[in-house]
Amino acid sequence: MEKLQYNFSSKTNKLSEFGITAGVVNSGNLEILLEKHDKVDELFIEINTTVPGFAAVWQAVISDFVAKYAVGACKFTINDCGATPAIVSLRLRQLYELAASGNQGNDYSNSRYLELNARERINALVDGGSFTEIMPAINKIVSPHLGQLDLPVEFDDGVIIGTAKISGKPVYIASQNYAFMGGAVGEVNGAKLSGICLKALKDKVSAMIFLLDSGGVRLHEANAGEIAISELIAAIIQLKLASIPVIGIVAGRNGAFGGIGIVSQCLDAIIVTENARTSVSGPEVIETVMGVAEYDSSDRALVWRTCGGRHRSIMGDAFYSSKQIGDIRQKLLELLDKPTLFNEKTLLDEYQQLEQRLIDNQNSRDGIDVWAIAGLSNPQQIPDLSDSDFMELLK
Amino acid sequence: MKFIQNQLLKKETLATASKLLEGKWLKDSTKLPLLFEEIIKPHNRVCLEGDNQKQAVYLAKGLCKVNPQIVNNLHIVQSCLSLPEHVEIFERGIASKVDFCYSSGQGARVMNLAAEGKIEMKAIHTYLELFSRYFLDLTPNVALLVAEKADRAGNLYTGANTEETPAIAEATAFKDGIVIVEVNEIVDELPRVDIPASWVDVLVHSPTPQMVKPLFTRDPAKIDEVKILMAMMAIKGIYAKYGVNRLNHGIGYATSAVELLLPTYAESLGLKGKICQYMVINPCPTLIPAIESGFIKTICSPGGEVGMNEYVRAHADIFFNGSDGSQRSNRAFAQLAGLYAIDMFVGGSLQIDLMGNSSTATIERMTGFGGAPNLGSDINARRHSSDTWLKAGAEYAQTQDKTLLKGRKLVVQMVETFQAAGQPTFVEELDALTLQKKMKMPLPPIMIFGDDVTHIVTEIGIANLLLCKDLAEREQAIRAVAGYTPVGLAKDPQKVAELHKRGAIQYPEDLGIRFSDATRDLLAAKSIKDLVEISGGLYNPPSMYRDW
Amino acid sequence: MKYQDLLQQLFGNEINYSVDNNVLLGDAAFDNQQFSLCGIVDAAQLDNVMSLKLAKFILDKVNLDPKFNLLIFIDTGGQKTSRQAELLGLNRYFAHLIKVIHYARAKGARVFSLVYGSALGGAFIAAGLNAEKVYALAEAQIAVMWLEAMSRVTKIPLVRLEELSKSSAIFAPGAENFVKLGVIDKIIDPAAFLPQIISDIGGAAPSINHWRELADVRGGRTLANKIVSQVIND
Repeated sequence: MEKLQYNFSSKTNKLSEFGITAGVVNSGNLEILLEKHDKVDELFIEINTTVPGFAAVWQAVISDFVAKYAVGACKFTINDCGATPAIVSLRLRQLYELAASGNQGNDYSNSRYLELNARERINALVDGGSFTEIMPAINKIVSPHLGQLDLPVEFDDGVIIGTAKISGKPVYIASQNYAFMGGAVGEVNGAKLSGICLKALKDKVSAMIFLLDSGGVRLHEANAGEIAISELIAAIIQLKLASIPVIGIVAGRNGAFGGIGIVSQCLDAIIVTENARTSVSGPEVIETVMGVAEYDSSDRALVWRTCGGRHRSIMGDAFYSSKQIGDIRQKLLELLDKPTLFNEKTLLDEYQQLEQRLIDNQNSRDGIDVWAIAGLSNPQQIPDLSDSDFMELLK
Repeated sequence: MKFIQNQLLKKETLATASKLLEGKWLKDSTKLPLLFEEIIKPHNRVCLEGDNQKQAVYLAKGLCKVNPQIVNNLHIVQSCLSLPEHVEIFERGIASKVDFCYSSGQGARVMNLAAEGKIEMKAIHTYLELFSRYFLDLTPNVALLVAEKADRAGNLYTGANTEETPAIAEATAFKDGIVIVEVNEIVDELPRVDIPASWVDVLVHSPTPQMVKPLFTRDPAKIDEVKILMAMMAIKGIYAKYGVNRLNHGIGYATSAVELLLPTYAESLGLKGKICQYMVINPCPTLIPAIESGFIKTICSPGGEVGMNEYVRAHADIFFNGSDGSQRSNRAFAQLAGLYAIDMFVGGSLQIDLMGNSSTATIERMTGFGGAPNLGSDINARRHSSDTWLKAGAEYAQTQDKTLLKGRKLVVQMVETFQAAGQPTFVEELDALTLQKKMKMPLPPIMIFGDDVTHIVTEIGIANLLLCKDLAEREQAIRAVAGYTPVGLAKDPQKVAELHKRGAIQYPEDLGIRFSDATRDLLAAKSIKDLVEISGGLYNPPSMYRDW
Repeated sequence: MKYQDLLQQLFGNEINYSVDNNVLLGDAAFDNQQFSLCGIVDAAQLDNVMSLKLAKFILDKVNLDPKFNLLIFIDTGGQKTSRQAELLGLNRYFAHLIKVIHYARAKGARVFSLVYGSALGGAFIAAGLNAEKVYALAEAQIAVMWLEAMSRVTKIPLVRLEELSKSSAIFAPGAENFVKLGVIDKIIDPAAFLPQIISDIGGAAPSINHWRELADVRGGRTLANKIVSQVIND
């Protein structure tokens, strides 16, 4: 890692929002945090980069930016993970535009969940302008363990938490950033997740919502991550015991694997889309351990038949939605209105359902077998059905 | 009798081999190496069909098993070295010389063997050159080919991935070479005959289907804002400006972005029916939205694409399909169309120097050329005139103070200034020059020569090299779009300003394009699944590209 | 330690248990306290059937009398790595077991676990880590992933990981590390285990912040506790 610092003289800005970020710490990308600076005609910029030796290029890129935009009285802090100058310029400009206009008024009605970042997903699902972030990037609470390994950090450690409203009801929400270290859980982001649950418990909100998108435990802080997941589960159980609905959405790029795959099934309900995947061990892990004959992880159709959104919803482990943000929100509203009970009877019912599943599927080797046993006609065609045809079939 | 020696030799060879055959068919597939030992002589020129996409895997595996005491010093003449077996025959001493076009995936191994002296590299060709030389001095003595199906008589169906099989078979069969073909499926009646039985001497039933790689599938999910910006600039600043209707696209993400912007951005500019109507290109899945929206009239394909067969069948107005309805490709003709019939080539590269020379060679790998040097070259010979060709020619003639005698083909490079952080695309000297010295080649392996290049598009802007008077101006125009690379940082700001004023350099704002407009929302498809849906379920992507 | 020897040493003849499909179930008594026992033996990988069996055992106990004592004995090689297990929703089976254990605790059961062999990955999350307190024998092998595999996946040289693991408990295998991180209350001798449990039962169950607070005191995780309280009080 290399740290660079520069001062540029620049006209005083007329920006309206501070503490915001653009970009993400991911290979070929970077994160920029905007803060206030005490000198009005100066931009102070600090860069932490994984690719040392390019001070001249950084200086040139930022000089050009400063020449075009008034950013005096601003401080930029950059966590870089090998972004090209094109991406650096793009993110600088995006940050400026965001700071000038804010993102509260954005219309996400035609957006796709999959295309949005962790923060945008929250804003797209909750009532417009209702989201208030807790422990945002500007607090700079980063993982101390990644730094020890010379790895770049992200200012929110890959999880966004906060309070919001959905249809006027107060909810707390957490969203995992799949792009930073695969959304994996470590000490800091794990504590943020537990913290927001316990706050929801204390404040008796209408619901706790998780936007899960994670490969599981962050290996660089594996023990802390595993423990954090167990602590999170304990907090989720407290919410269930207090009859506060806990709903998850698994519709992102990384799905929900490992410990987060387990967490997803501890919730009252999860909403999945076609591209969702969730299980404990990922296909690559099973292939590595058991061989390609057991599980060919490059056969992606097989992967989705084994742990994909449609399979999980057919088995009754998830609720299915189309990938449009409006449909996901609609599904979420339905689930919020339908409280799940957590008592001896519901546990016994679940036990019977899971036992029956094992009895029914003794010879099932593929999703198609499971779907046939579930009584669906033409099971081999299910992956290729349109969302609306598939949802019709589920009824 | 003096001038029919080859004929006699062929008869004699096939007579000796006949003990292994039943009619034209190899009786016992375990005897394949034995068959080769009967038919292939030391120092023979052999084509072991390795095309851009399909590979004669079964025959390749069989050739690796021959006794190098009997079959050795073969001179391999084929376009692509892509299977491990293509290299293994050199390691085992079965072959020693090679004329080829490119080595996908085997580049590093090929280079090491050449350095060890186990491969004598004759020349690295373009497709058209190699196919042409099959008909002069590099005619195969034995061609080991692959077809999808055969009937009992030995007529062949090569289908969507016909590629270069007919060209190789014709050169070999009509010069008394021996044509051996592997087929997986034997049928009573073929859908159609792509190659007649009289060109075929021996058939081998392969237990597995031919291997075809999905080389032309680009996932729209991987197209970022930078490539979208470049695509917008290219559409407005080049496609629309010159009214380009006959063209070829390379296989990079930047050209995929152009394809996915046709039904959205280009249509909003009123360009439907005005650009991109005739294309020389494989049936790339990212073309689906443009085809469905009526942008494209004709596609001439050098090969097929995995998963696109049903889509192509249902779009016979656009593609070249047989009487059975399925696609036929022909690399030789498509390359010819790409050389002579198109007005614009758009491709990418790993490195570009100050003169605009470009190369994909790196010091570790010997990749070769394929078709790009032909597609991306201006031909000096007489050709038909078109508005695009004349317009580009007029710009050039005016700059050079010449009378307009001929037009120019547009040769466009679309590249980001950096391949990755710390890895600039624009360089003072190409790695190809180092490679030339290392491999003692007569010329550096340049893919497209700078004097053929007319435009370079980067995220910074468009350099129009037609409007550069001399090499010094050309250098400054290239530096101007090279961004923050060392090459770009060393630009002469005054000279660049002058070139900008003259229109030799255009920035996004000159074209009325704002960077903030370059969002993924402009893409007509954002995922492979979108492409499937837009195709009405006719596109059936290979499993590796699915996320459902 | 073999579970047979361990159980013999803990309860002598005051025990009645069975092991089927690597799942241990039983009842025992010590010092006038009744204990229900369950667990995983022989470093088996925890699968769907086993999880369900453990869950049913606990559900039945809750049904009989929710105020019972449960000891969970852990020796597991991790989650079952098979396509079949995942196909049928291993995560749901694990979650079911987790919910059942926590439900029992909520209804008044006192639940403790003892790692006497291995405790790897997801199986530890599914079983042992849901107890109110977790203990481990000195010989316990606790890990998320072994360092060699971690080095392969993260592309960080093994030497570097080994060196760093000397000063940090955060990622390297070892029961001691899990003590520092607050999860394992203490490393304990078999002889001291049941007296410790009797004493635990005499007091109240620890709070939900117990691990984090221990981790803070022991210096293994210095941020977790602060962050959680900061978020709660935001």
